[in-house]
Amino acid sequence: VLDTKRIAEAGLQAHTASALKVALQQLVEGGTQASLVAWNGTQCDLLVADIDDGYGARAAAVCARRRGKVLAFSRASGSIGLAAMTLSPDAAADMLIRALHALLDRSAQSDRAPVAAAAYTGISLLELCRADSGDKPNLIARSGSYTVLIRRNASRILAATHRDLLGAKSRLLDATWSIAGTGEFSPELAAFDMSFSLDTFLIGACIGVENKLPQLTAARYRLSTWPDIGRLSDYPGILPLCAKMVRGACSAKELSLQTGASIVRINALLWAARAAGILQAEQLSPVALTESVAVPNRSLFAKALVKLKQRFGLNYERIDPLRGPIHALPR
Amino acid sequence: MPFQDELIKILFAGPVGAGKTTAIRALSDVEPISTEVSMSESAIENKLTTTVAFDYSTIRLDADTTVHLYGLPGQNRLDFMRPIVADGAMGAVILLDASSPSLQEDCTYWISSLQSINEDMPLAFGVSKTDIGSGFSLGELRETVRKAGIEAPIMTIDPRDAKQSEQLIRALLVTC
Repeated sequence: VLDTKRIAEAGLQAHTASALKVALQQLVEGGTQASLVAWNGTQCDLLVADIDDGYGARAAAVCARRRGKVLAFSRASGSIGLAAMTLSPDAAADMLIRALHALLDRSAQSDRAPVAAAAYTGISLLELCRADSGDKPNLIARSGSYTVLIRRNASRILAATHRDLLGAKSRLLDATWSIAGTGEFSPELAAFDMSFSLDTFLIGACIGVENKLPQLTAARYRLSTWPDIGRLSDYPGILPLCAKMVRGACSAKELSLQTGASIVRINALLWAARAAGILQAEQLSPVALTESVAVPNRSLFAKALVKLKQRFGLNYERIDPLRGPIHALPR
Repeated sequence: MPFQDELIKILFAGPVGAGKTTAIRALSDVEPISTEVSMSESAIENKLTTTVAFDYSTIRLDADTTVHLYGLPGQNRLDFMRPIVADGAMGAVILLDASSPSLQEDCTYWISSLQSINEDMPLAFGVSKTDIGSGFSLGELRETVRKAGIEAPIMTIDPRDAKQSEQLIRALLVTC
């Protein structure tokens, strides 16, 4: 018995709707069983929607959230994130037929699984950020009822709910995660509405478990780029540490002496930077401590800078490396 | 009147709607002076006003020292004002809108605009609206900044939050 494909349409302009009917007729003549209905919010094998239209865009969002297939029409570039495939409303008829063929065939092959089979299982979230996912830029990570999407190249972590993010944070070190790679524009990405800084997430999560993290053992560390710490103002010591490591390689001991931060806190930052892929470790022995001690700023604004840094809690550069940190003066 | 030996000026630059006025308001000790007018045709949802000249406010450090905060106008037609306002600035924060389709172009444009005024001006980048810009990629933005030959902090923030705006200023200060 041939399975009839249920195709729903939403928000299509008249000429696009006509083109769709003609294309489906050709598919039926070619042996594919398919029926076309107006979208009514229920399950379908394929939704064809004009996402430049408000109703069509809403239908596409709902369908994608349910991990359904969407063929979208849009004149806007960059709108592919929501849909399995996007065509211009002026696309040629044969292109539309090929798109329908491809999507319905995939549907028949039960390709609704959100991602490929898990590439890794039994891994901690802290480690999985660095896991090899082949040519897939994104990782979908699951542990129990928690699911997060990690866009490593974008330095973002996404989740469907705040609960997922909190759960991920609380299970940072649990080796209970399974992950799989997924493409940049997969339709299932629409389910992850909340986007958050991966750097901020990792640093906050690592600080939360800093006493459980093993000590990293390289001699010196530097950061390949500034981490995204705009929302980490509750941890004022993190910014000076990052500034030091962006400028040059430092040992944990040097960092502690120069900023007053504890070795445990520094180690937590190093772990987070390692997971975020921005940590560069050097095995060379530390050079003389004096090399990275701040030199007096001789700029036009030198005196003002001292006052400004004091005002914003950054007067750590006045620390004497031999006598230790002088804590920020009250404002 | 006490003698002020240094004029400390920090700039806020960036496209219309990125949050420059909001950040200055969050940081200031006093009510900022803004030259805002109603937008006749708002290109940005929920944005009812725009700055037509510049925003100005201050942070008082002590009896002798005041930091002057200037928001540069975002509209290109007012670009002639930027060198005048930016003259002698200690550094600049470039605020960008993550939900804008022209995010990368805006970034390049504002780097170039500020570097044409002072090639060595210290910069820090703030990115707002990342919660609604679901496709935002910090990696791409880092690459754009790197291609401009700049190593500067890039941070996602909510300019309405004074603590986050202060964090951006801290990031700028450590690069000065």
